[in-house]
Amino acid sequence: MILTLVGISYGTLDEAARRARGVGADIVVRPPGTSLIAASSSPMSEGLLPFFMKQPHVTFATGTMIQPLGGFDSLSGIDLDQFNRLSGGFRFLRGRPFQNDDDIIVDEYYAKEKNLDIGSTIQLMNHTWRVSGIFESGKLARICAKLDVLQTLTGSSRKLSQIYLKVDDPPHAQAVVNDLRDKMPGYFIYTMEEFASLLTISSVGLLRNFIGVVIGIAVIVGFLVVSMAMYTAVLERTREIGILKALGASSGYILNLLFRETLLIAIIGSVVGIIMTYGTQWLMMHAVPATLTQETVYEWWPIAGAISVVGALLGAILPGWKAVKQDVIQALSYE
Amino acid sequence: MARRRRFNRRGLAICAVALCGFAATTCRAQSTAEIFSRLDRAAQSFLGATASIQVTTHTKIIDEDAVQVGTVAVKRYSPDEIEFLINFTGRDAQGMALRRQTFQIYYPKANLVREYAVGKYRDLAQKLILLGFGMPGHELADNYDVQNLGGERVQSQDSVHLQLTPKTPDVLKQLTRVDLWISLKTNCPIQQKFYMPSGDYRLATYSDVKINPHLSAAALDFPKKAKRERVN
Repeated sequence: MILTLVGISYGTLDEAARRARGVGADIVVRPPGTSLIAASSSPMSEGLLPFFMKQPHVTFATGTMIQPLGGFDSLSGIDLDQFNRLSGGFRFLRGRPFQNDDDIIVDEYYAKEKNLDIGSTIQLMNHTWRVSGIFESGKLARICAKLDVLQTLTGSSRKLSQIYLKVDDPPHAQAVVNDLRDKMPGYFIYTMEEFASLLTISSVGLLRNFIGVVIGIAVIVGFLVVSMAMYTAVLERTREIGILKALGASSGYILNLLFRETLLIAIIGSVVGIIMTYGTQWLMMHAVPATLTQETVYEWWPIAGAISVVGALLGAILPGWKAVKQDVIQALSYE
Repeated sequence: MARRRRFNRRGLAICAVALCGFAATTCRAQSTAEIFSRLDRAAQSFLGATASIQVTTHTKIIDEDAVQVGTVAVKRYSPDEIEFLINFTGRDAQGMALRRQTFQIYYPKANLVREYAVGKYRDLAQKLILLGFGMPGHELADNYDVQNLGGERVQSQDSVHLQLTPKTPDVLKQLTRVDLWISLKTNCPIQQKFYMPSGDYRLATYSDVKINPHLSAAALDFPKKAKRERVN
C-alpha cells in the first residue's frame, strides 16, 4: 500500500514536471495569489505578452489558459502556432492539429483511457468537442483546445493562466527571472528548472502530509494484523511453548523464536508487496493511464520494508509477552 | 494703535487656524469611532442588498484596465452566513456566487455552472468580496488597521474614505491595502479598491444600491437549466 501510493504521488508529479519541461520554455510566469478576489483561474492579461517580449534576453512569449476539469484533468487553451514556435510542435501519432473551433487534440494516454479516436466527440465544460489529433504525451497538457475558443466560452477574452518565455541563451534565464521579480512583485516567476523542482513530494505539502498519513495507517494496520496473527499463533502453540519451557527454554529463547517468525513474515510481506506494486502499475497503465501514473520508487523499498518490520515487531510484543508469562503446567494441560 | 490691531488680527487668525486644526483632529478621531458604531448599527439590520457593479482590473506594469459591468445581489441569512451572486454582462458575460461552502462560476456561453468547494477560504472570500456589506465596524477594526481619510463625494454621494491595511501577514502578502468608500446614506460601500503587491489593483464601484430589498431564491441563483459540474 505504501509503495503504491508513494509511486502514484511520485509518478503524478514527475509526469507533470515532464510535461512542463516539454513546453520548451525557459521561464514560466504565473498570476499572483490574489485570484480569489478576481475569482478567476486566468487572471493575467494578454497585454503582458508584448511587455515580456520587450525584456532583455527574452526572444519569445506565449500564454495558455487552463480550465480544471476535476480530478487531475484540465483543459488547456493554446495558440497552436505560437506554441509550436515555443515547443517545436506536437508529434501527432494520429490525426492533425485543430481545423475547426470545436476541435481538440489529446495525448495518447487520455485517448486510451477515454477510448477516443480521430473524429470522436467528447463533452467537456458542457461543450461538444471533436478530437482532431492524438499527440505523443509529454508536452504541456493532455487535452488542448484553441485558446480564443476557450477564452470566449469562459467569458475571459484576452485572459491567460500562465505565460511561458523563451530567452536567447538558457543561462540568462535566472537573470531575467530576477529582473522580472523586481518589476512584478507578487507574480510567481520561475525558471523552468525551478518550476519543475517545485513538483516534488517535499514541495507539495499536501502530498507530504498524505504520505505521512498513509505511513501512519500502514504501521497501525501492520501492528494490528501481526498482533492478531501472532496472538493466534501463541494460543495455538500453548502446549508447544509449555513443552519448550518444561525442557528448560528461557523466556529469551521463546521471544527470539516468535520475533524471528515475525521478522520472516514481515520480510516475505515486504517482498510480496514490492512485487504487487508492479501489478498495480500495470493495472493503472492499462485502466487509467491519463489519470494516474505510478512509478517504481526504489529508494522507498528499504523504507517500506523497515516500516513493515517495525510495525510487525511492535505487533509481536504483546503475544510474545503472553507466551513468556505462560505457566508451564497450565500450558502443558492446554487442550 | 494700528500696529496693535494688526497684531490682534494676526493673533486671531493663528488662534482660528489652531482651533480648526484641533477641531479637525478631534472630529476625525470621533468620526472613525462614529463610523464604526454606525456600521455596527447598520450591520444589525442588514439583510441583503442589490446594486449595479463595475469592476476595473488594472495591470500596473502595462498600465492596462479591463472593465466588467454587471449586477450584484447579497443576502444575509445569519451574521456569519452571507450569500452573494454577481452577474457580469456584455462580451465577457460571467457569473459568480458564494453559496454555503461552495463557490460557483457561471459561464453563460457554455450554459455551465462550475462548483468549487472553498472550505476554509469561504470566510476569506466572503470578507474580501463583500467587504463593507453588512460588516460591523468592530469586525473591520479586528481584521484591518483602519485609517480614516475623511469625507469624500463619490458618485454624487457623501461617503467616508477608509484605508484598510490587513493585520494578518498571510492576507498582507496578497493584498497590501484596501480603500473603502462607505456611503453615509446606505452605510454600504460605494467603492472598494484592492491593492496587490505588484501594484495592480481591482476597483469595484457600486451604484443604485438598494438595502434590504425582497430577494427571491431565484435572484441568488443561476439559471436552473444550466448544467452544474463539481470541480473539486
